[in-house]
Amino acid sequence: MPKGKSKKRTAKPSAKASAPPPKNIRVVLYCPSEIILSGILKAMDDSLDIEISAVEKNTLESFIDAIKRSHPHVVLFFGSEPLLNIREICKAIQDVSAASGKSRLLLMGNIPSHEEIVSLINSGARGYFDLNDNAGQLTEAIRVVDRGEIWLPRDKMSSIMDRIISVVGRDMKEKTLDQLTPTEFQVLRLIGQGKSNDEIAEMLFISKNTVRSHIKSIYAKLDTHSRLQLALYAINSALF
Amino acid sequence: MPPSVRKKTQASGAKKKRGRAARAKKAERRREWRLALPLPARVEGRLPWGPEFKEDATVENISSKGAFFCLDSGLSVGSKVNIIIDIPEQAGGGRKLKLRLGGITVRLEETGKQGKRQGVAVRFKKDYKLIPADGSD
Repeated sequence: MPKGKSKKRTAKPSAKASAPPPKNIRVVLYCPSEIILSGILKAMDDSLDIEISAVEKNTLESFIDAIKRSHPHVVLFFGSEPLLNIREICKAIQDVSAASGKSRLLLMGNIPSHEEIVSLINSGARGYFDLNDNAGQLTEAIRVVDRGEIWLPRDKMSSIMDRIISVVGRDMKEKTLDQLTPTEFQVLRLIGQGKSNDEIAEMLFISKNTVRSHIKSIYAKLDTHSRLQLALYAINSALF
Repeated sequence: MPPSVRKKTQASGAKKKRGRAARAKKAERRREWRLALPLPARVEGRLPWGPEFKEDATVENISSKGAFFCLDSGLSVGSKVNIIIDIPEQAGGGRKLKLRLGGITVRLEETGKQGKRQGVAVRFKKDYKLIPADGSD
């Protein structure tokens, strides 16, 4: 443990300060807004384990250069631009980070939609810190992202999880529907349209017994037990 | 081990097993997957104090056993309701369909989403009917 740090620590009265910081987290920061930048720097003032190695407020090119130069642990990016640009920037930062070592991107901003936040995480960000969040949590967010975990605002977490669950659920469903043969899939679609077995047999030029056999097979493959559930599957697969 | 002690341990073991089984049963009682199908629906029924009601709602999730949606009408547990769900042309093979279901409310949640007063969980009782949208109302 460096001596300089322990000296600094003795000056801190809190119990938290008595625990030695595990390592220095190098941060490169991009923020074009002076006021927000001063707020960010103030929020990180007391943290002994976080070292700001570069602050960029001019162009994105100089920011990317700074990442290449200083190989930071965490890239803190305040995005005030359109989302599409931020997504592109996320990808660019991810590419640079992959080439120059392990840099993890923590986005800051004021993005209301959880879907957009999910898409940014999908584009390579490891966390999102909302401008409305408690400033005291910023350093914790940086530490969390540095550990390789994901940081998201608490209030957005539940809706983001709902979204993830629905996407994962849909993937699972699609996998299950993939098991159906083309005829079984047609039968399922027709069940979703409210057709009776007789009507399905007539439409597909097969016997009623064959329809029953297909339905039995669909029940087994989709692990379901009722015709209504099959209809709901069919409706869901047609719509989403 | 003395027989009385063995009996006791056997009995407590059986109890534990039953408890575990009951907990597992409680945790996973649903046999069918619930699908998040946010489709518009009309809910009809009778309010606990007598008058009939009709209210438009959006289904939050549905399975072959039941559905969950939010309503403003103050229902109570045990109320009978009919749910008519609009199925878009896309899923109805080029025709608009309505899915008619009858059920009974089994659970109410105090605050519903979308500004509605209560979340309503319904267990289906009757068989379902898929009918063309133009001939149903």
